[in-house]
Amino acid sequence: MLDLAWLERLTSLSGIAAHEQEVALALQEWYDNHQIEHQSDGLGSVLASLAGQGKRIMLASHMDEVGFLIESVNQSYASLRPVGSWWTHLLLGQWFTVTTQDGQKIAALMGSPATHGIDSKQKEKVQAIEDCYLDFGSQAPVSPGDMVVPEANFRLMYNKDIVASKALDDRIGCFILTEVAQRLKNDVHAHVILAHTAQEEVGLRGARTATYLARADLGIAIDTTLAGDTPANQNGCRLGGGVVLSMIDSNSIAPRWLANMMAEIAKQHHIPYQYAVFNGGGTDCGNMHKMLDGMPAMTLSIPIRYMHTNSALVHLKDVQACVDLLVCFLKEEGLCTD
Amino acid sequence: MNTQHLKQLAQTFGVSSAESQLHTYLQEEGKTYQQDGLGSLLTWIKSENPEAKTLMLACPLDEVGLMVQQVKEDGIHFISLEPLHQAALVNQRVQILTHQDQLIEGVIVSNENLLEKTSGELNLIIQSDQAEWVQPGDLVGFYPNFMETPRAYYSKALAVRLLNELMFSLAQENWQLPFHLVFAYVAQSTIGYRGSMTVTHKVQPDYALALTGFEHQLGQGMLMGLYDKQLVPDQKLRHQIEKHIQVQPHFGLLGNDGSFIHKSLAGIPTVSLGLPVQGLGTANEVILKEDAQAFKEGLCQLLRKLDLC
Repeated sequence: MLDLAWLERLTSLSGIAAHEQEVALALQEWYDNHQIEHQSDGLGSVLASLAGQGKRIMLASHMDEVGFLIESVNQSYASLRPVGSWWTHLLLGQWFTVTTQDGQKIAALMGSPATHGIDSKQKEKVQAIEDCYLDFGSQAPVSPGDMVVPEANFRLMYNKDIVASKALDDRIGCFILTEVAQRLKNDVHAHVILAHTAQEEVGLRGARTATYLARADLGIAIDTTLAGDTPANQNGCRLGGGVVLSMIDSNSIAPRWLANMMAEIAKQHHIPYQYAVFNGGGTDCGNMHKMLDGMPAMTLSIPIRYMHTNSALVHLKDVQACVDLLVCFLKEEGLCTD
Repeated sequence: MNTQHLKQLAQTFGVSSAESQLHTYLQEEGKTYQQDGLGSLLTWIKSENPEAKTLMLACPLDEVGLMVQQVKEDGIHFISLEPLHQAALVNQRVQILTHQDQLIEGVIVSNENLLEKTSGELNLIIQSDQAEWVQPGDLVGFYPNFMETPRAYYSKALAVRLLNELMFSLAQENWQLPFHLVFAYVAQSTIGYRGSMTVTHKVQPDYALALTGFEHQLGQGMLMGLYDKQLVPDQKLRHQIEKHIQVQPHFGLLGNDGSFIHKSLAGIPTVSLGLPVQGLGTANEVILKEDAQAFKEGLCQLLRKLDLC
C-alpha cells in the first residue's frame, strides 16, 4: 500500500534548484526513522545506502521542482526570475508560496492584465515571462532571492488512483525511492545507492556530483515523462499504462540490454510497462551515464499530465509498477553476485 | 588500406549505443583491449619509458541512425538520433535492429505522392513487411551499400569506418615511440560526444588527436580543424603538427570528439585531423582513395616525429 500521506508531505515542501533544504531534511528524517544510513554531496543531494552484495546500483530522483526567485520588489508586487522551464500561458492567475530568508511562508497571486478591454490581438499572444509579477495584496516582508513555488495543492481525483499536485516532477521519484527502500530494507538484493539529487531542473548538476560519490556499476534515473492521452497531447504513453521504459531523450540513450532486461523482468512478474521514445527533455541519466569512466544507465518514468505547471496528474498504478519493477530488478541474481 | 576489412566494417550495423558488433572486427587475437562504461574500445601501445606522456588518438565508433517511436497501421514512425535533413532520408533503404537482435529491412518513404508534391516538408515513415517484429526503441541504420571504384569509396558511415580501419591497421604496426599511444574507438560519439568524455577519463591522456571526417572539397589530403563551434585547437600542438606534415586548413561548425576531450579533466591539448568527405552523414559518403592514403601516411609520419616531452 503506497504511503499517500508521505507523498502529500513530499510534494507540499518548497524546494527549487539549490534551495532543496526542506526536502533534504524531510528525506534525511525519513531515512533516520527507518535506520538507513545516508550522506550528502557538496550540492546537497541526499544519498542513502542499502548494503547488499554484488553490483553497486545507483537509483536517482531529483528533489528540486520548477519555480522562481524573486528578482525585485516594488511595494506589493515582485518580479520574478524563472528557475527551470515554464510556459507563461499556464502561470497567470495561479497561487504561489514565497519562502523568505527567515523561513516565513507568504502566499501570492500571479498577476494578470484585466481581461476586460484587452484588444483581440493582445489576447492571442502569450505574455513574456519577464512581464510576470506576484501580487501580495499589500507590502510583504519579501526580498530579492526569495524562493517561489506553486502553492501546495495535493488532492485525489474522482478516480482515487489519480493524484494531482504540484512538484510531482520529481517528488514522485523521491517517493518511489523511499518505497523501494522500505521493501528492500530486510531483504537480499544488490548494493543500492538511493540518490535524491539536487539541481536537476537547471542542468542535471546534482547527478554529476552524486554519481561521483556513488561510484556505481549501473544507474537508473526515476523521473516523469509526458503522457499523451489528452485532447492536447497524443503519444504512446498513457496514465495507468504502467511504468515507462524511456528509450531515449536529448541527453541519453538506454542501453539495449538493460532495457530488454527491464522488459523481461516486467513480463515475468506481470508488471505493466510501456515505452517512451522522445528526443526532447532529459533526466539525471543524461549526466550519470557519462561521468567518470561511463556507466550503463537508463530512465524509468512515470507518465505525467501537465508537467511543469501548478498541478500535474499521475496514476498510482504506474507508481506501484515502478516500485515493483525496481524491487524485482534489484533482486536479480546476476546483480547480486560479483 | 585493407579494403576487405574496410568493407566488413562498413557493412556492419553500428548505430549509436549498438556499437558492440563492431568490436569483433577491431580486436586482434593476442592483444589486450579495454572498454569504458559506454562500450568504447581502447588499445594501448606502451612506450619503453613508463614515465612517458600519453597521446590518445580518438575516432567515433558509432554512425548516424534513427529510433522507432511507434508502430502504427500506416507504418513505422521514427525519430532521428542526430540532426538529419529530410533529403538525406527519403527513399533510403534501412536496417532495423530489433530488441531480439534481428536485422530486418525497410525503406523510408513519404506517405505523399512525390510526383505531385514537389516541395515542402514531408511526412516520413518506414515501411517494412516484417513490422510485426518491431517495437518502440528499436534502432535503425542505413542499409549496407559499400562500393569501390578505381578512385573512390562509397558507403554509409564511410568516414567513421575508414578511420576505424586506419586506426586498426596502425595499431598492428611495431611502434617504438617515446610516448604511450592509445587508440580509442569512441562509443556514442556521433550522437553527442558522450564517449569522448568517458574515454578521456579512462585514459587520462596528456595530448589528443581527434580523427574525424570533414565535409570538404575532395582531393585535399589531410585536413586540420582550425575552428569549429566547440574547439579551437591547442596552438602549440597545432604548430608542431604543421612543422612535420602537410595539412590543409578546415573551418566548420560541427564538432567532433575533440570538442569534449579538450575540456575534460584539467584540460587536454587537442587538435582535430580530418578526411575530406562528401555527403557526410548520408547513406552514401564519398572519400577519394588518394585522400585516405595521404591521411594514413601523414599520420604515420607524425607519430614518428612528434615530440611530446
